[in-house]
Amino acid sequence: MTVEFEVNGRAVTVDAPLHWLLADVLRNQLDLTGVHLACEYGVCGACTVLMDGEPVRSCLTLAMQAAGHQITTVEGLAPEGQLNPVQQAFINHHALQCGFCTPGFVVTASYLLNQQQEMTREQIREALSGNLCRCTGYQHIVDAVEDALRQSQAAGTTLAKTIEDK
Amino acid sequence: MGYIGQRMTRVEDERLVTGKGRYVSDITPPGTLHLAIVRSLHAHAKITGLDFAAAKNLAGVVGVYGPQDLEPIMRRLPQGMPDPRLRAQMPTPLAIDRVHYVGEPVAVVVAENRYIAEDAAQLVEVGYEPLLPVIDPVASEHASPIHQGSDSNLAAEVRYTVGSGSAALSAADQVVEVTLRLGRVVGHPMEPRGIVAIFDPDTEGLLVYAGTQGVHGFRHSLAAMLQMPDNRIRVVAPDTGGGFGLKTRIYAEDVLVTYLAVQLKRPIKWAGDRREEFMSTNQERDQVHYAKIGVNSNGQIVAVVDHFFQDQGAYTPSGIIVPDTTAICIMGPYRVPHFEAVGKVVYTNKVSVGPYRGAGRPQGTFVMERLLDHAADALGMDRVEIRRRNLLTPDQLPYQNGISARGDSMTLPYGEYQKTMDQVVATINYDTFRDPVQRGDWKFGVGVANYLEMSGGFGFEGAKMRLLADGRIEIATGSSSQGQGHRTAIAQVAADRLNLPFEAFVVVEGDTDAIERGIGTFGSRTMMMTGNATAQAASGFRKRLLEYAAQLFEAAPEDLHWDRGHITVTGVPAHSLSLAGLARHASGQNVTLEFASYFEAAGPAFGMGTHGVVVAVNVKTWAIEIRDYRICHDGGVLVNPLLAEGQTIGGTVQGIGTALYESLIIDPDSGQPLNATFLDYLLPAADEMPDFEVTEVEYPDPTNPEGFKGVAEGGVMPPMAAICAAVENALRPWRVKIDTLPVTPTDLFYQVSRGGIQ
Amino acid sequence: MKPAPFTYVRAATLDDALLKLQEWGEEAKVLAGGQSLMPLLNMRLAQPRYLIDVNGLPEMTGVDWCSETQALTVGALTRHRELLQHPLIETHAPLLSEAAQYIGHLAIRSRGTLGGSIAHADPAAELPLVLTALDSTLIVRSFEGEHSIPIGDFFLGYYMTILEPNELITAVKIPGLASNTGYAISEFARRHGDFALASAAAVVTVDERGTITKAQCAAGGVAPNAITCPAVNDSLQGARTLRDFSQAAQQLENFIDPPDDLQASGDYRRCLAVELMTQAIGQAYARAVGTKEAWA
Repeated sequence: MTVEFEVNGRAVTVDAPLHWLLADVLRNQLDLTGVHLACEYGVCGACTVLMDGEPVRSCLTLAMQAAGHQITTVEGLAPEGQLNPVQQAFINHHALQCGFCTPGFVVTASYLLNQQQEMTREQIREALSGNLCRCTGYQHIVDAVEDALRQSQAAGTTLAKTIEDK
Repeated sequence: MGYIGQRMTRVEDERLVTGKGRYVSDITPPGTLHLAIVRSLHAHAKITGLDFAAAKNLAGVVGVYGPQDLEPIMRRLPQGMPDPRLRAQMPTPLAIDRVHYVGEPVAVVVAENRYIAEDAAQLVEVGYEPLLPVIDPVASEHASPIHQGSDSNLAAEVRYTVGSGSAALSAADQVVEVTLRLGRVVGHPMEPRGIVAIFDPDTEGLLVYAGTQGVHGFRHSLAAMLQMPDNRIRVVAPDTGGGFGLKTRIYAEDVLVTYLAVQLKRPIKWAGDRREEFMSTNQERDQVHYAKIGVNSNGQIVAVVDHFFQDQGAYTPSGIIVPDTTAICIMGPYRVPHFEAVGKVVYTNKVSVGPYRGAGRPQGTFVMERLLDHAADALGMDRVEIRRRNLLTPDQLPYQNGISARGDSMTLPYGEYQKTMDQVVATINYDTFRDPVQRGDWKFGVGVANYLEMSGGFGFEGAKMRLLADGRIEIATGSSSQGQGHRTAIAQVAADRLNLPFEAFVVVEGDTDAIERGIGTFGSRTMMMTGNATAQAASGFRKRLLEYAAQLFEAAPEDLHWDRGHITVTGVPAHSLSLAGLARHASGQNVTLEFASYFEAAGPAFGMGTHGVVVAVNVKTWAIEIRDYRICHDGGVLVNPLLAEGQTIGGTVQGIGTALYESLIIDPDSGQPLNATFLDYLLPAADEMPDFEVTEVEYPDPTNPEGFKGVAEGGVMPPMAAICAAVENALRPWRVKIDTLPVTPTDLFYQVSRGGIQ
Repeated sequence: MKPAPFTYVRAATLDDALLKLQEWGEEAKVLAGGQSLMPLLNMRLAQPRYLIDVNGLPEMTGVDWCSETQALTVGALTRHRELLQHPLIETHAPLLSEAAQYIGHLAIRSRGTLGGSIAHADPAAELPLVLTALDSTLIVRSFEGEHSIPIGDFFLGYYMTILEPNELITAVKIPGLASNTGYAISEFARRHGDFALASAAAVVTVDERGTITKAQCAAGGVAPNAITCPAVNDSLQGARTLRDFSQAAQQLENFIDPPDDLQASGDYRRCLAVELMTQAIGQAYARAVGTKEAWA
């Protein structure tokens, strides 16, 4: 059966069996292999994507359920090769080793960034607790997200001030 | 500015943070068929029949195969790390007649996609006649043998004696005895195992993508199983989502996939899932120790004696490396005049044990550090003080501890062991927390543990440098990264040794076509082995380029000088060539400018360090929280302190997992794993982990020219002992003893109820 | 780990969904947030022939406050994230918002729904626990019509409810928070976001002297389903000190007999439940007293 939705700003029509998971359709039919599968029951967070701006597990979502929705994968966060602040912060803080869990963390963190709320380190840890990483021990990931949030807040403040000045 | 020692960010990362990483499961060549495995539902059973009729009839199924159908590969997988002490048992790719653990491959399905393959696997009917499983490792020695034709479940006995061994205990003022248990830990790289095989009937070549830690060994084992010459197989390890020792050798699935790819002449892929990771990938820890320490009244160690059981599971994929390493790592950084370790390695009906981060190092450390804590308590001595009295001092180093492992006697190089401990004791506020501190319902306790990190030190590894047409230099090596950041770190070494910018290097790893020979990445060996090979290759490569340029300029090599990628005839600035220019000339003259060098280790490197932890235990809920964690770690000359810190913290968190969360529970009657999902088997998560304060000290290793040491396994060694010590310390009024891992709220609840509130 | 084949249909209307449920009965599963159902499908522990997707049905969506009946009606498809943030819920059923923060993780809360959690009937789940303490009523629809079920009658045991195969929960009715009333949830898990080893919820009302006149307590994770604790409630009549609360919570001990499982032993769980109940009562009381003072 065909299903139409939007992925990373692009309208797509996909033909897939009714019982296929969104994660598999993104990976196999749309070649968005940044969506990783590491548990397939919603615990590890490696398959996290944004659905209408909210983080969801693509392994717990059927492809058919994406109909009419906007999906953003990690590939959609750096559309023209311009890294998202979260992605840059992950590099700067050595927040990844094997990189397999990284897309899930980056997508979750980009959601946090979009919320434009100040977060303590503890709140960041709580927000990331649905993403498992076996390599880093999390500390550098928390550093990266904290830094990205701080930078985006600073940028937001600057922007607000610029508008105010005008 | 030198590159070695800089906290450089990684060249690997931009691809990985944008989703452009290419892991095995991301590789699906056109026409790929997908494989699913039918796995044993029983821990121990006779197979009475296989019925594939229903499965074969399913649309989209290409084939269903049992052992009879795959007879040419139904030989035993090659024994890893063979050892004369071992009575080995290796599996065939599919179980023949009998299964020996829940999850053992019984049959295999090939289908158009993984969904259909799993549908078909569900339709395969397997007849079982259940047999009594052997689950308890201590009882196993005298239980009925699980392997046919074998007269005992004792796979091996590892034995080390120093001085007069256990006889020396009688000379001690005090002997303390303790039973220590470590849970069965599943390593869980985030990327499950997987493999893609592509056979080209024209060239009869087999291209294999596998997330392996050593492509050359992997190829050699595959070649033996497939009865193909090595040179017809190319193995590529693309981006690999973690390894931790679990991906060092071939598994049954690797043989099944490659063989069927050749037979069916279609690309075949098996992307294992998490359930399979729980049921088929090597597991670790799972030991019971009966340990004794004899001390004098002044706290000095007289003797350490440890008799232990290694629950080996069903087979011996990596020989007895884990129990052997356990035994030789017990003494750690201490002076132990008399020592005895006897480890019995026993078969049980469980998944096989193979190296997982530390591979025995954490177990040995756990034994020694727990013994010291218990001895201190028995003597009424401070736990740090007893360590201070037994740590090797600089004037005693280098020190031969009397263990003769893998041919050589272990020699501990110079280091200042007390300094790392002093640093941690000071920063963790040991003196404040040593006496129980209580805030509300939370009781605080502190624990300190030392370790000696043995790394690298066996075999060889190579680096092959080649001048590329664009003037950059390719460095090919047989090691392979599962996240360590080799492409960055190796380039840092090369850049310094060739006095070129970092960007001038391209590191190629994990490809049997890139370099003739290699061993791979495990045992924290890559920086020591490949790092030194790179430095060695750099000097040969520079010489090679200078000689070639000398020919071009018709000058003597000694009249040329090398300055940041330009070769110039001294005093004749016009006679100068960039590396790109040199490459152009060489290409025109059909010359390849390359140089390979293989570094051979003289022995392992030894780093040292200390962990200190403050925990808080809630006396109402028995919650255990880590409130402060300090690490002082010697990693030798650090190529990239940022990456070293990442390794240290990552390893420490895996150690905390073993200490507080992780244990695969096997039903003692049926042998069924009871918590084989991430819902029930708890990995450490972001919310519970603390921030770590890591201090690196650098004592260069004397056995290799660059002074490098491995840094990947130090972190995982001491957390178990340090956390147990801290929890005991927090609950000191109840005299709680924590000798079973993982430590759980339920355990504390029972210990306190038994001890009564004082 | 892929689900076995099934036919997926997206219900166009509530009647459409009910008609299909009527027709397919036990062969069908209702897909709401999917955060409990999808793992079961992927692990092939459930292999229904039909999946009826009810997401987006307006009859199961939305939050309404009726000032006449002083009751809050929350649509079954309300997602956990909305429970955390919805102003009407924060005002009239703040315990629901507080409970939602303990549920799983960010991405689970994006999708998981109120009705789905109730119908799944996990004994350790937060929402059945607090809804029990809040004395809620479930609005259930089938092809034959609508009826109400008090939550206390709804659960039959581990993952079992009285819901018939042709029925759907469409909404939950929660009495608004009375004056002089405080609430709290207390739970403990080895890792944040996991199902609790034990949990407790308390809603207490005090008189002007700060004495408890009414209490509704519930315990989770220690019985086949969330349970009310009449003995605790009775014992709290007239209570006003921490000692009273602790004694009342002790009543729970004889009332529950949790089994051992992989994460914790039954004995430990029983003691833990008492402790968590004490904490929940204490915090609820503090809030009740605080409320009273604020109105004074």
